[in-house]
Amino acid sequence: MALISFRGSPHGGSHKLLPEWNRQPRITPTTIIDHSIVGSALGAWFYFRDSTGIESHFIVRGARSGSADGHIWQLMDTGRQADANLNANAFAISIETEDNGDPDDFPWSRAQLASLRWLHAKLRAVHPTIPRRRCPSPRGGGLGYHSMWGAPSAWTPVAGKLLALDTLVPTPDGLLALREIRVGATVFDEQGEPCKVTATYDDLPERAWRIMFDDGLEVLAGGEHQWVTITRGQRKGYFRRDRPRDRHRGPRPDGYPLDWARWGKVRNTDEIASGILASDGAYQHTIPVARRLRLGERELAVDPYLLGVWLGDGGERDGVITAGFERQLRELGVLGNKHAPQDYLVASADQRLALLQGLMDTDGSNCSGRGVEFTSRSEALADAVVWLASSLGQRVRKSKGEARFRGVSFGPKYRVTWASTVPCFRIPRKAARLHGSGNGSGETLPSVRSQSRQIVRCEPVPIQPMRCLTVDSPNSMYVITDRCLPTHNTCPGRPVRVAQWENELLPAFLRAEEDDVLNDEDRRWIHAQLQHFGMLLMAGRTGTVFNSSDLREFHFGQWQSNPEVRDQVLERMTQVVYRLLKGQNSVFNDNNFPDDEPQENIRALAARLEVLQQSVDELRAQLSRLPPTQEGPPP
Amino acid sequence: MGELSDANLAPVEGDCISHIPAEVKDAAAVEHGNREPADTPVRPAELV
Repeated sequence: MALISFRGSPHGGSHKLLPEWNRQPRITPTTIIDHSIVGSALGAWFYFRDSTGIESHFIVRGARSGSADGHIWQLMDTGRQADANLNANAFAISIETEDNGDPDDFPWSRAQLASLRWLHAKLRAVHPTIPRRRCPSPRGGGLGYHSMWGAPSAWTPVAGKLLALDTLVPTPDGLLALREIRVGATVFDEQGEPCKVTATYDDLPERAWRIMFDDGLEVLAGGEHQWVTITRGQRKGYFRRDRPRDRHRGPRPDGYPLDWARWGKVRNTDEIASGILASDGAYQHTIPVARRLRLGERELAVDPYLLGVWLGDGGERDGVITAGFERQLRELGVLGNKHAPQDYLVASADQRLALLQGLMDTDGSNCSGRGVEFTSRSEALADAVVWLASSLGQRVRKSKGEARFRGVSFGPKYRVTWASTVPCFRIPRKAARLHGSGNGSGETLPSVRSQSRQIVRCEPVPIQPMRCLTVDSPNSMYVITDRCLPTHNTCPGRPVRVAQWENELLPAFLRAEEDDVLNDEDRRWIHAQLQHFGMLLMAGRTGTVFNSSDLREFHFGQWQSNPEVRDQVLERMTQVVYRLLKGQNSVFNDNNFPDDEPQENIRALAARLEVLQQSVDELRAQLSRLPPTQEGPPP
Repeated sequence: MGELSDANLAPVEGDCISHIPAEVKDAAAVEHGNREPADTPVRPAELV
C-alpha cells in the first residue's frame, strides 16, 4: 500500500482516490511514465471516475488551475495497477499532467516541473524497485514519458501520423520506400541536414488522403499525419509592403525565412483537408521547399559534368563526345542503358549540380527569366533531373507529352520545368539568359513562388497500411519523395514537453537526489537559520525574512555537495534581503542610490549588509566543516 | 532490475486519456458543476 505523503512537496498535494484505488491488481512498480492530459485535471478526474476503465496514479495540476498550479492529486495506490499505459500497466506508475488542451505548444509550468521533479524522487524513494535511469526499452524500468516509443507503441494504442508505405524517402544511399526505412537510418530535414530515424510505426489510419500540390506532386497520408504549413494570412502578412505601417519593415523579402518550420504551424492532414481555400479564395496552405540536401562528396569515375553532357547528347552505344571514354562508361553500366548512376545522384551538392549542368547544357533550355526546362524522351533522365534539381532546393514540375517532328510522332517525351535559383547552365549563352545570374555570384536570387508548394486539393482514398517515422532533427521534420517535400514526423509525445522532459526532468531524476527531498527536520533547520538572518538584519525587529515558499526549490543534497549551488543560494538569499531592505526604506531605490541617499541611511544599510555578509560567511564555514558524507544538517 | 517477463506484457484493452478530446473531458467536469472532487480522508499513518 502506498499513499504518498505530500509533506515537503513544493506545491502541496491531496488524495482524491478513485473508487477502484485499492481494488485493481497489485503491482511492483519499476517504471514511472509521465503523461499529458490534453485538457483539465478536473475533466480528466471525472472522466476517469465515470466514463472509462482507465485511470492514472497521479494528476499534477497546471497553470489552468490558477493558484493550484503544481498541486498533486493522488488517484490510485501506487502499489495497484492503473490502466493508462497499455502493455506497461503491470509495472508502471502513471502521472498525468494538466495542460491547456493544446500541449503541443504549451509547456509544463515551473510549478508543474518542480512538482514532477519532487514526485519522481519521492516515488523512487518509496519504490526502490524503480531504477534511477531513463527507460531503456518499453519493458525496462526507469523514468519515461507516455509516447517515448512512438504512437502506437507498447505504451499507447493511439495511432500515429502515417504516410503510405511506398512513399519515397531521400537517404544518403538514394531514394528508399518508407517501408524499407529502419530505426537508425539517416534521412534529411527541411534544412537539408542529415538526421537519424529514432522510431518507426506501422498502423492503419482511420482516414487516408491524397494530398495534391500545385507542382503536380501527390502524397498519400493518414488523417493525423502532420505537416508544417504557412497559411495565406501568414504569407500576406509576411510579404506585404503596401501599407503605411509596412514602411519600417524594410524591403519585401525574397523568400521565406530560413526558420520557416518554427514560424509555420503543425497541422494534420484532416485539418488541411477541411480548409483548402482561404476566405479570399486563394490556396490556404503553403509548404516551403527544403534546402539543398547535404550529401558527402563521392569518388566518381567520370567527371559529373562530362557524364551529364554525354547523357544528354552522347551516342547511347559508344563514348562519342570524348575519345577513350567508353571504358569508364561501360564500368558505370550506362552504355546501352542511359541513366544517371546512383553514385552520381547521391554525390555532394557541387557534384550533383555539375551533373545537372551537363544535362541542362545539352538537353535543357531557358524560356524566360528563371524559367528553365529539360526535355527528353527518356523518362529515366527526366526523373534524374527531377531528383537533382529537387535535392538542390528547386521546385520542379514534370509533364509528359508527345515528341513530334514534322508531324511524325516519336513517342512520349518528358519535360521538367522549374524557376531556377541555382546556376543550372555552364554554357555562357544559356547561363547569361538565366535571369539574375549576371550578378557575379553565379547563383540567382530566389523567388517566393519557386520556394514553396501550395496544397491545391485533398481527396479521401481507401485506408491502407501506413508507416510513420520519428526523427531527431531540430524541428522534427524530414523530407519525402523525390521532390524533397518537408513533412513533420510523428511526435513521440508533445514536442515542447518532451524537450522539458529530456532537459529538466530526466537529468533531475538521474542525479543522486534522495537528499533533494528535503525532510521536515532539514527544512526547520534552514528556516531557523534564515529567520536568524532576518532578525539580525532587522536589528532587533522581529519578523520572517524568508517564508517557506522561498525554500520550495531548495535542494539540500545539492547545497551540501555542490559549492556552485551553495554560492547560488547564498547569492539568492543576499538578494532577497537586499530587496527587503530596499522595500523598507522608501528613500532608497535603484535610481537615487547612493548619491541622493541620506548618509545615515547609507551607514545603516552598510551596517546591515555587513551583518549579512558575516552571517553568510558563518553559514559557509559551518557547511564547510560538514563531513562530505554526512547527510543531515548540523545540530 | 527493471526487465520484466513477457507474462507481464499481456495487452490490456483501453485507450489513454490524452486521446480523448479536451471538450469531452471538459464536458465531464461541467456535468459535475466544475466542482473539485472532495479529498479522500487518509490517516497520516497510512502515508509513506
